[in-house]
Parts: sequence; structure tokens; C-alpha cells
Amino acid sequence: MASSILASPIPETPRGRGNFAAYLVRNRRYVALVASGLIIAFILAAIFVPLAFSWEEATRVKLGAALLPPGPGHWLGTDELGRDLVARVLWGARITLVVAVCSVAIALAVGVTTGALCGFYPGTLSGIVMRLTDFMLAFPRTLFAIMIITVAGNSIASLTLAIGISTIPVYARLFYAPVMALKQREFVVASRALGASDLRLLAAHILPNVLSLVIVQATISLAEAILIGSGLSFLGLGPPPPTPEWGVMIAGSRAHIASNPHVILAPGGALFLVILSFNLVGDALRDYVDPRSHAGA
Amino acid sequence: MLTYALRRLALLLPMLVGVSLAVFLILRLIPGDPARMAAGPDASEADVAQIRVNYGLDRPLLVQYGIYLSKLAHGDLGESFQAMAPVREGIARTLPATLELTIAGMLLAVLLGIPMGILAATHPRGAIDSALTAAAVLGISMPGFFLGLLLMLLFASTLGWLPPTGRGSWAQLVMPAVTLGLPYVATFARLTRSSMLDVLGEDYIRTAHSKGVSRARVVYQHALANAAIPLVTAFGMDFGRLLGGAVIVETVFAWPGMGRYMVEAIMARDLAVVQGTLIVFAALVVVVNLLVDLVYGFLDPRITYS
Repeated sequence: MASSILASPIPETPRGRGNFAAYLVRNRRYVALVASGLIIAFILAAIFVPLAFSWEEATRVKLGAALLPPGPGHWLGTDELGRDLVARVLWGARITLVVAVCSVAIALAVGVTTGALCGFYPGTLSGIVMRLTDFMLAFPRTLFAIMIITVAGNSIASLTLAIGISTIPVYARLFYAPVMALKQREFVVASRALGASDLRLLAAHILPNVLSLVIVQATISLAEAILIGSGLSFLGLGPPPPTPEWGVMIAGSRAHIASNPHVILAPGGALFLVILSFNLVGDALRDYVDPRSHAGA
Repeated sequence: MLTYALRRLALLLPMLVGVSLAVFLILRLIPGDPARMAAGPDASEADVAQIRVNYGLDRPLLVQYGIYLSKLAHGDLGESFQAMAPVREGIARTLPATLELTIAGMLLAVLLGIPMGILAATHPRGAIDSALTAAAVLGISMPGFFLGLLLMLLFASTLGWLPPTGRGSWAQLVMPAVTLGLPYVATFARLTRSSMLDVLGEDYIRTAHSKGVSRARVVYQHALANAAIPLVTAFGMDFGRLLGGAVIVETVFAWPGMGRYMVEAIMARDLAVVQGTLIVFAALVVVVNLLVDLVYGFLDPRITYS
């Protein structure tokens, strides 16, 4: 859960414990190992899908080939407009990855900066910003994102922006307390006494110490971004059809669920597996960077 | 306790005004012209200008907000472009359905989650424990609309036990409520478990045991009452998430709630409806969090307003 990272003290960056894969094998966390493999496959699919299927194949309507069951030629079958589901699911991976990574990058850039500045320079303004952050955190993120999309329109870019903005408070809140605590630590005070500027203190001494927090939270944020993004697309607030986004695909094919469940199961299964993988790897990463958290898991 | 409650209540009004201002400003400050959106893509410049004047969109932003707020204070949320009817009527029609769905989902999560969590806490490292850990991560990974469609495929299309969509009978509430609440069962159970385990380690629990109080009484009376505080916090946070989830679940099951009303208004670029529903959603979150704070004061008399 995200809440347990918020409450935990700053984990030390792991040293001398081997890489993450070795850690997973040593601790027999095979489920997380499989999940890591799925994430790698997902990323590779997203990058290399144009080599296997053209955009045309994923979007061009071929009514003659509509609703074919899974079989040779179309391993996942075809949808109600005769488009090959393997091509669409793989192109969907590309869209999903771009939206998730870019939205988390927006949230990271703005949220980390806000949280770090507020923690580093406590005062009235920081207090107000953090109160606002708390308030935004109480507000449902889906609704917050919907509000942004309402004005920014339906597109991949505005979907990304909406998810990114609605995630900013998570990072601002996450970094505020650790930065405030680290600022008091001896190595930071010593560096300041030696004449280091505030920027150098933040960049060279404080941020490296919260890096492991960033990695864990970013992994979980990717899962949440995919979850929220697909939900918004399902509502029709993401990219318009025929974009092979997974939520759009499910919304478009849902009328055929009873007669041809494969049209829903292919994109839905991919969606569920990818989100699950990011969550499982996020949990494992948290234990990897902070062995103490395992007891509470 | 009374002072605490009153001071907490006094905060309600400024918070609601703040929320309405935030929604109002965000819907206007992000690039995009509400008059043009309302007019549609084929409208002429004159039509757009006419709409701008009709809805007061040509006046300064703060004046617009002042007018909106004074109408809001009288329960007037403006008029829907699309339905030519007050937004208030649309909300009055759809809000009960959303509340029914959200409360049913919440009850499901709480009524299943808390007993499971107590079982896991009283039998640590057992099968329930590991099942809960797995169920929790499955729950947070399952998109609500996919779960809803899977339930529909199984219970409506294949087995024919439940009606696939609509609202009116108890049978129609089952699938939407399960879709909304099920992912939170394991989350609640895990929180109950860890909170109970913390409390069960306390001195007063050992004292109660050594005084000869029965095990059931220790668990249900002494421990649960104290373990409830973090659960109430989670309840407040999750209520907001469930409201957000309800928007999606309503669309899956054609549930005539406020979420669907809002999404349809977004498609139609009906800004007054979007604004009104968002403000009501936000007000619900604010009110529930206020209730949560009041329950805190009741559960733990040491908490005072500072």
C-alpha cells in the first residue's frame, strides 16, 4: 500500500545486497520475478510493436473478418470491426506505456520539486501549499482527472496531463517530511557549514537519500496511472476510437461480451496483468530497498 | 466534545466555498472557451457571442463566481444547456442512486473486510493471512469496469442469475455494489489485521487476559474499539475513492447515478452540469471527512481540536 511508504522512515539505499533479480531469487519471491518478466515483455512489446504490426492493421476496419474466434492467423481473434486483437492489444501496450510514463514523469517533476521546496523552506507559504496538497489528496483522483479532461478535451495528451496533475499531491506529500527531516541531519548541516549552496544541498545530499522512495512510489504510480487512464478511456474521456487503447477497446466491444467474450478478455486481461505486475514489483521493490517494511507487509 | 464538534462544523462552510471556487476556477482557467464548447463545432461566431452573453461568460471572472456563489447559496446550480432544465433537478434525480451504490459498496467492504481482518489477526501467519495479502494486491490491480463486465458475463449472460443493468430491484444492486466494494474488502481486512495486531500487543490487553476476561470479550470489546480509529480514517479516504469508482461502475451497469449524469454532460460539453456535479461530489467528500473527524472525537476523547 502507498500509505505504508508515507509512514515509514527514510530507507537507506541498499548496498552490497546484489541486484534486484538476485534478491528476488534469493528470497523466493518468484511471483514478483514473473511480474518483472511481464513488465519487461510489456515494455519490449510497446517499443517493437511497429516491427510486427502496422498501425493500419490495428485500426483498419475489415467487416468480413469481424468477431473471429481465437485461432491460427488471429491468435486472440478479431473484434467487432474485424481488427486483429493481437495487433490492437500490442499497440495498446505502446499507448498505455506512453501515457503512464509521461504522466508519472509530470507528477514526479512537479511533485518532488514542490515537496522538496516546501520541506526545505518551511514557512507560511509552504504550510498553505501542503494544506492544499492534503485537501487534493482527499478528493477522488478520478474526479480530479475528469475535471481537467473536461476542459482540456479528449486526447492522449490531455489524458496524460490529467493523470499527471492529479498525481502531483502524492509526490509533494511523500517528499515533504523526509526532506524536512534530512535537512536537520549532520551530513547536511556539515555540508552547509562548508559553504554549500541550498541547491547543492538539495541536489547532492538530500535527493540521493530519497531516491529509493522515488523508485518504489513511481512503480506503484505507474500501476495507478494505467488503472485510472484505462478507466477514463473506458468512459470515453481518453483518446477517441479507433485508437487501440485498452479501455477504449473494452468500451467499444462491450456489446459483444455475451456472444464473443474474447473481445473483452484480450484487452482486459492485458490491462489487469500489467497493473498487477507493476503492483507486485512495487511491493517487492519496497522490501528490497527497506527490509524492515517486510514485517508490516 | 461539543466544542470540538461545533468548531469542526464551523469549518464546513469556508471549506465548501473553497471547493466551489476551486472547481469554478479550474473549469475556466485551463485553455478552452466554455461558450464555444457549449455552442458546438458548427456554431457561427454570432452564436458563440450570444451564448457568452446569455450565460454571463463575458463578465469578469470574479463577478461570475460571485453570481454563481449567491445562486449556489439558494440551491441554484444553474441550468443545463442540453436538457434546458435546472442542474439541481438532474442532481436530485441522480444523487440518491449514487449514494445507494456507494453506501452499498462501502458496507460490503466493511462488513466482509473487518471480520476477515479480525480472523487474520487472531490467527496470524495462517491461510487467511496469506490469502488476504494476495487478495489485496489483486483488488487494487483490477480495473472496476473490467471486474464489472466479468461479473456481468458470469452472472447475467452465462448463469442468468442477476439482471445485467438498471436500477430498481435489490437484484440489480448486487453486481454494481460488488464491483465497487469487492476490491476494498481485502484492503479493509489487512488494515483491520495490522491495527488489531498493534492493539493486541498492548499492556491493557494482557491485563484484561490476566484478570480472566474471556478471549472473545478481549478481542471484540477491548481490542476492536481501540483498533477502530485507523479504520475510521481509512473509511474517510476510501469513501472518496469509492465515489470516483462509482462514476465508472455506473457506466458499466447503466446505473442512473450522478457519475453517469456528469460523464454524459462532459460529452455534451454541458458545463453547468459538470460544474454542479463536481461541486456536489466534492461537498460529499468534505462532509464525510467531517463526519469522520467527529467520530474520532467520539472514539477517542483525547482528541481535541487544535
